[in-house]
Amino acid sequence: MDFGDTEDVARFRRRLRDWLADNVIVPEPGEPEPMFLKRWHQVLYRGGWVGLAWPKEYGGQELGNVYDVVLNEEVGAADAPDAPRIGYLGRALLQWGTDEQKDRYLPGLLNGDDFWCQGFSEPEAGSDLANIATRATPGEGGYRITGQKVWSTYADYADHCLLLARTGPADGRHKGISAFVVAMDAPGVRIRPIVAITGESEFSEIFLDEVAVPEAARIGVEGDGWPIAMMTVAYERGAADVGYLSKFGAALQELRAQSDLDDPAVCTELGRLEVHYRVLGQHVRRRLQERESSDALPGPEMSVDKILMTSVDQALHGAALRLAGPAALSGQVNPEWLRRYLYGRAASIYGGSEQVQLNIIAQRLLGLPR
Amino acid sequence: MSTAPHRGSLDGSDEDSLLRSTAGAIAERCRSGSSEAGDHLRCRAALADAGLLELRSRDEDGAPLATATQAGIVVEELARSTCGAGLAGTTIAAELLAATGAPDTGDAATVALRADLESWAEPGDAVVWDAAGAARALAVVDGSVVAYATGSEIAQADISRTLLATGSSRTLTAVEAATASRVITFAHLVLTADLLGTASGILDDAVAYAGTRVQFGKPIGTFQAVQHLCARAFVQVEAMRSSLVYASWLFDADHDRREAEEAALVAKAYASEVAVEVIEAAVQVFGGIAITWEFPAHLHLRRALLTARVLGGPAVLQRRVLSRSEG
Ligand SMILES: Cc1cc2nc3c(=O)[nH]c(=O)nc-3n(C[C@H](O)[C@H](O)[C@H](O)COP(=O)(O)OP(=O)(O)OC[C@H]3O[C@@H](n4cnc5c(N)ncnc54)[C@H](O)[C@@H]3O)c2cc1C
Repeated sequence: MDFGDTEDVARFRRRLRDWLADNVIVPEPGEPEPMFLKRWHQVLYRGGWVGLAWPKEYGGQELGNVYDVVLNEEVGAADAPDAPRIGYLGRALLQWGTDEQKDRYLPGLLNGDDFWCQGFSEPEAGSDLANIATRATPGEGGYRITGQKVWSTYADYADHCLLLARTGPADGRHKGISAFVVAMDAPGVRIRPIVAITGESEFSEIFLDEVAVPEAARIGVEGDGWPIAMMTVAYERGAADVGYLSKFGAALQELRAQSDLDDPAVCTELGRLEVHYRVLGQHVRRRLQERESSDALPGPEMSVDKILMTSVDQALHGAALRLAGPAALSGQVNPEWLRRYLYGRAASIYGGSEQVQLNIIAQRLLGLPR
Repeated sequence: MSTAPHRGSLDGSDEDSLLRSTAGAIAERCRSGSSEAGDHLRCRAALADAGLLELRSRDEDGAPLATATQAGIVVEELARSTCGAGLAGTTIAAELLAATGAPDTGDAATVALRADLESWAEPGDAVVWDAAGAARALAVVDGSVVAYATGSEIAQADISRTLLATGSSRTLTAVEAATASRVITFAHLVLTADLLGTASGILDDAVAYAGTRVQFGKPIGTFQAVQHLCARAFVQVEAMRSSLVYASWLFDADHDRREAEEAALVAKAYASEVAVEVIEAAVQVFGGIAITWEFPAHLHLRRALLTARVLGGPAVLQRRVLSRSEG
């Protein structure tokens, strides 16, 4: 396997490290997390660090995929905010969008001006995504969409939603689902934020009542949205695609800085976390390299990535609560570790639950009988 | 609920079962309430009416009104609905007063701990734990029972219980080391019962949910992955229960204090480690809804995370168990 020109990568890494030393931002008092992340995304974009593997015509850099890993690693090591997670929503547009759609949506996605959310899950369609009931009825010049979405992360800040709706028969399962870009300020869209386990409003319900969506906002062929959905969730399972590699790197960095490194038990625990984190990085490198040398879209192999990513997430944040000690719980220090631990519990639920990933690995990668 | 028979199956006497159902009924009402302070106080009043705040008061012969086993049953039942009425703190404080013969002023008491919760309060490092309804907090400090006045509320992770700063303190009476350590043993039993209830309460709910939540056209409880999640957690709950029942029996029998002390250490060390794991499994079974504030799963998680630390977290207790079995 060839991981690319190491000298170029090393040069890129040095340049990025220098840049990060001067450009990392911190949240303004009271600034909501998504707005802060948006601002950071824009800063990174202006620095030329976003869309490294994306086509230049939409604001990308057309570098190799491996640069995204380097970006994640350096952003993490600098204890900077998460690398932007454009990867997973943008890919559907890049793959299936018309030229007009790409011109319309991709630049804003890459430069961070537009905030996107994902409208897949519904109350009766969580793990069983093919059970969605939200309906898009064709009419003059487009569709009317009616239904309900749930758990849509940062929907209350989003400009656009990549939304799945049924255009075929109600019992069609994964046939007859179409993908749309819905403008979140369209009449008939109502958003109800849900307070998450952390106490912050993190995700929302989206109610759609006869929302008019032009035909030009449908991605791909009518009724053929399932592969789009599957590709999107496959990307959502990649640690570099969602910027989580950087998040874990930063957390480790922070944990280490506040730990008692004279205690051998602490060192053992930190060392183990470091190894697992590094392995995740190496795995992601390999995965991105494979992507480069093949035209195949990401598929069931991304479930391996998701399981690895989740295990690092949960091991890291479980250990952080132990290492930070009761102070992280009993109100003596900033409860950030608790927040991250709680959010880490969601990692085995969102983007396809742990059990569903293991089913995919067993059935589709190992070929075990259903 | 389908797993209820397991819960009471080790109850030794009719009295134990009756106590469990009385406490269970109060817990059920508590569950439908909110976690507002007012609700805690209503719950506390119900507990007081049923005599459940005085389990460890002594009768005229100096015998406790209820065994440690029974106290554990009541604490477990209330913890199942993350009741914040201050029962655990009250029960431990009552034991401390009774065991030391400290003058009981009648003011409701709970316990005072170090700010990291891992041991009794120390000079300059004291908070009031499980403070709902309490007017003072007791601790063993330098060989004496010390009473602290309560101060202002401290924000912390366990929102089902109240944590307060301490005010002025005064010494009530001297306490012998052996007595102090027996109180700690009792406290470990109460805390284990609290962890057991906190974990098994939400696990039972998750099992019930798995029987009704339909995905892919069938209840998720038909998927082996979900069954195994629940089953493994149930094994941990059963083990917590076994060690609690055994350690409580040793404590009540009172013929070998050293052994009772060790058994309680083991029970608390184990529960402190696995209660959180059981609740994490339950969260996994619930899926997205468990990641919301409205849904009670996080109340269980938060409570167990903190209770696990009270009077010794897993790391501290594991080491203590090891050092004892060396000798
Ligand atoms: C923090 C967070 C953010 C999210 N963000 C978004 C978002 O932006 N957009 C969006 O569309 N959705 C989002 N989701 C929703 C997420 O995709 C769903 O929660 C997830 O798919 C699980 O669905 P569910 O919650 O309905 O759980 P269920 O599907 O009801 O699952 C409950 C339990 O059953 C198990 N289970 C289900 N089916 C099987 C099976 N076949 N075999 C074995 N076990 C099974 C699950 O593993 C789980 O343990 C988010 C969720 C969370 C928690």
